[in-house]
Amino acid sequence: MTKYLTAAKNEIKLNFRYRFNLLAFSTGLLFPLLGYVFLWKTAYSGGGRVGEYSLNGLFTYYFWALFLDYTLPVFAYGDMAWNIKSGGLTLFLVRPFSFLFYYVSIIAGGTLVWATVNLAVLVPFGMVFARYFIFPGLTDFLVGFLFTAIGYFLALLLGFVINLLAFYLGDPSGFRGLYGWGMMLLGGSIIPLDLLGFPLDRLPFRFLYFIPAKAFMGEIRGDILGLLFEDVLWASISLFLVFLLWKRGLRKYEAYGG
Amino acid sequence: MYSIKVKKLCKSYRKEEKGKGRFGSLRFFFRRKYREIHALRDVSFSIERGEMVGIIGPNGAGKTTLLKILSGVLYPDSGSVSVLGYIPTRREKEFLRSITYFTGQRGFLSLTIWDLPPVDGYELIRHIYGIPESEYRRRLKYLVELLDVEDLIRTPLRKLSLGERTKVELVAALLHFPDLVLLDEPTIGLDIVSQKRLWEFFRLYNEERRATLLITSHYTRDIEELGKRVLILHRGRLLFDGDKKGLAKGLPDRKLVKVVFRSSPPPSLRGWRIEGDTALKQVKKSRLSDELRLISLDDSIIDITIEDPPFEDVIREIFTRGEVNDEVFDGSEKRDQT
Amino acid sequence: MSLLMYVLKAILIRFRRESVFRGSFLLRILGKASYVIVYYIFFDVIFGSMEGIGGWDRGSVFMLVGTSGLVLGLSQSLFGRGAVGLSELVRRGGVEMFLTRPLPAGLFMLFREPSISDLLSLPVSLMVLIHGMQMTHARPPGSCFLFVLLILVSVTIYSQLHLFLGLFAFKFVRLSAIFWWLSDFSDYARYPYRIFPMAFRIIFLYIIPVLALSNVPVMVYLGDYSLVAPFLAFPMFFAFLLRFLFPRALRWYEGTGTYELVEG
Repeated sequence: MTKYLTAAKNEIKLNFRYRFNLLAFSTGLLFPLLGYVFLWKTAYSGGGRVGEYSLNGLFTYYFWALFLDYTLPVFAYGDMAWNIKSGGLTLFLVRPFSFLFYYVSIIAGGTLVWATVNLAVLVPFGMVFARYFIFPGLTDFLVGFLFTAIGYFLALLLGFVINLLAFYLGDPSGFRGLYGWGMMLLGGSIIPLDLLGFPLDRLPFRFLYFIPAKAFMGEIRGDILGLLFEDVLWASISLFLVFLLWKRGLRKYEAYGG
Repeated sequence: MYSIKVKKLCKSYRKEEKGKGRFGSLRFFFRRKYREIHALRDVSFSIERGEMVGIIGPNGAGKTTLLKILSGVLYPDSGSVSVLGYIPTRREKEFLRSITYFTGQRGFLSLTIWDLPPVDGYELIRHIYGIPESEYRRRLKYLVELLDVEDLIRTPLRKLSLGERTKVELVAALLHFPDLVLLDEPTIGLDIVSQKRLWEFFRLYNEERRATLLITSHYTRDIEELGKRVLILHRGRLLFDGDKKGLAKGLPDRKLVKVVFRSSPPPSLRGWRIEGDTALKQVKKSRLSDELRLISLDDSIIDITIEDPPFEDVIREIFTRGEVNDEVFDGSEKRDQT
Repeated sequence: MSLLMYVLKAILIRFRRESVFRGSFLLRILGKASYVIVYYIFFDVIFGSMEGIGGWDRGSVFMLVGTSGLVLGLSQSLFGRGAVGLSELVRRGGVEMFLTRPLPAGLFMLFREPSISDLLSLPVSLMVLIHGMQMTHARPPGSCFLFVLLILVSVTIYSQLHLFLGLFAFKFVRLSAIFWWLSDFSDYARYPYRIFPMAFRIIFLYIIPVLALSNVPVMVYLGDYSLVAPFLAFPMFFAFLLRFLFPRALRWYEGTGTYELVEG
């Protein structure tokens, strides 16, 4: 266990080594948020309304969705697939050090840093635009936090699934690109899913941004247990897929390099 | 007690054949052709604990594939492998704690702490292998002094030169004092001085730790540096397994004659290779006296030496024989040359 | 070999390289096109409930989405990878490979890795653009020519912005985040500039002109020439600035050990 904590510690050190990059990445989340704020403000100033959302509701939704977008490990580190393809995985296989848990550790370390810095950036922003923000009550905050935690785990596992395709595909990068945009649209970080007009209830992606954001807004109170069950079910399926892809992938591994 | 026991090992890969010509890429896009590459074919050998063995062969001979099977990274298609009493592909924790796999092309530190100093990586290694703190400090001091990298371990890895990086990576690879050290082209890209220092280090490590060392290289001069025993691989087959002195026995009965002249060698010398003021020729032992009698008439000679042929020539001959008749060469036999 | 010939050869080599893995190649094209598809859906949803945004109707906003897709897609296909990778190139000591060749080093580094999948995804942006054009009232043929010319100017400006930022990588080694910022700002290109407050308009029309990249060509097509002059002045000013800055930036370069190409 200590070895994985050390790896997480190294990742934290690494992130703080390049402080400018860290700050720049985190402040970067303000720009799309501002874009949405100005867009919706202008759209609503004409007297229109989209779905059941007030301007404050839209602002609050985007606040949470973009915070999660910039914090959740959607791609679980792209160099994971590259290490498999290029033979870097070999250097893990010859050690009593799990490749998958190594990535869990460094992602956890990275997330701790990004989440902290993202919040530090968002809080002053939230204070400036406080009049638009719908503050969650304690219960809604706790429920939102719970769905965020499971969503984080789900994002990690889905990211692993995409990266582990490197065992089977000559080049998994095409998948990653499409997956990234698919996640953003189907996860609800671009537009709230209930405005899209087509049913997305059978896909797991809504648990990444849409459901947690709605939970923070207190809009899923009637169906918490059902959604929780479904969220955990998707996470379990993803975990099984990771396990399967990994075991089978190792047998196919050709260990390029040398 | 055997450290490594390999019997009838086979491994193949499937490779795509790209289309040739101007529209080859387009054809390749729509229709694929594949071919089978036999990386290892019926390879068998045993190595005892504490031995230092060199594995040489041209590029594509199967050296790296062999090491990766021995370390449990690759699954063989057929045959049996036992390393330190374990089956490598099971990758049991105790097995992994007892081995190390080091390649000169890329290291564990480069993958995990590129932007950080090596000491951060060593801390990670310490926890991976569960090395107690005091023992870790002792081992680190030992390896750092042996490899003379004290000044480098606190500099970010990305700022080190290739040779410096190789050395700090080697520290990381040996911190847990493995019983079996698998070295895949460890000196690739290094200058001669760094290479020599590395060989001295490997010899010392083998002597002091009684660890089994397997070293691959496509530089035959590396095998001259260390390892009494040599395995020669070519196109997946084991062409030679034995004492490297035995290699020379099977070769044509030749000696290398070097003659140094006061100025440039006379133009009348036929069949000699001229390098500046030196003339060289490989001469059969039975013809040595005749050849020496011919050149001794020249009074501008200042030195004559007679040596065994260079090891590289020996190996080249083995490779060529491998291509022509695909036989396994046993170093205990002496071959006649007509 | 001229830079143009090099870029054409690089595109050919890149096609052969990218198309080796067919499935991934096709998926990548789809992935690149998703940017435009996603925002087409986004604005379609908005205009399901609204008549206009900041005085821009559905057709003109779709034109914005299509134009931004074309400009950013064309830029990405020519120098997207090269630009973002500049920081990595400096970090891992690969600049030597470009400085020692008989081509303008800065442009050589920028255009070293064209992207075929981005190129082949452009038709989707074109379709959205044409769809938007059909919704607006017809223009005389001349404005189409000017529209195309301004697209090329947009691509030039965008490449200059990338190169300008890339120069800072020689001094501040790990600088990929600054390209993320530029990428985030570039997303504004799909919005009508009037949704932004005055301060934003000044910054993103005249200083980091990402808003202008698509707004100006569309405005010209619709008969509004108010922003053309500063838009055309920008590439000329930046060409001069880059010529001055590039040799000075090279003095910061330290190089490092053997170059390792990292694909991420």
